[in-house]
Amino acid sequence: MPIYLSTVEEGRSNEAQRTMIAECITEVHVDVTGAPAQFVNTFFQERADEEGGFRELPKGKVIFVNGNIRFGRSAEAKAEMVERITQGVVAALDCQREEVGITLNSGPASHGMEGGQILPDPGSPEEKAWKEMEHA
Amino acid sequence: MAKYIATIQEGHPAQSIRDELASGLKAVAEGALGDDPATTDVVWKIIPKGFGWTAGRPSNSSVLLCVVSEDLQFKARANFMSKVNDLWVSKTGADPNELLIYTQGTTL
Repeated sequence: MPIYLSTVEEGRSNEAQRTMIAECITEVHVDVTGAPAQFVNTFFQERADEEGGFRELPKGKVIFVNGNIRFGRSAEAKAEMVERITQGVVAALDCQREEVGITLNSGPASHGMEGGQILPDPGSPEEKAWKEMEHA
Repeated sequence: MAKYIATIQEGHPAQSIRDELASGLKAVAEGALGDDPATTDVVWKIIPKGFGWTAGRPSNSSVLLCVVSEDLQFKARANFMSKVNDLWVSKTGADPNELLIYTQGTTL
């Protein structure tokens, strides 16, 4: 975790653009939260579905980024992430910022497992050890 | 009633053994949560090549979202996720670091 699932209009992005967006999301998440990059997952899909948060892209949007992160991030941190990711997506897709939708959902860390280990809460002593684990 | 939403990338070993994995996941839900396999759903989302990244690089990571009871306590939740993890890793041969399991009461 985190998982960023981006629903993008069919045919609207190429691999280079998706790479730019994935790199942007990863950089911003790591920069703002301090989480290791190897835990940042970014997926794209061209067909909206319930699991992506909606049945179709909201009207006027060419992309909608649905981010799922751990509880414990401040409102300021989330606002910064939204702004910087929006800027990155606008640059990558050469679109208007109004065409970019983004939401960040938070869930309890203890509800997740990665590398066979329960995810620690942000800022907890367990997180320090978790970050030091080798996740090649 | 449990539900799994398994997001895998095209070509992942799980893709060719989806039925076997689905049976195993239903058995885990039955054993760990007491859920009837007949009412447990497994939904597969196949992400095309070039649509998945980890750490900003193309990856082979998978995500298993598990919809379970909201009031599932920590110990039971951890036990359930461990069993899902063990099943997935043993059946697919995947690196556990390439699998994220998340449990929640409703879908995303």
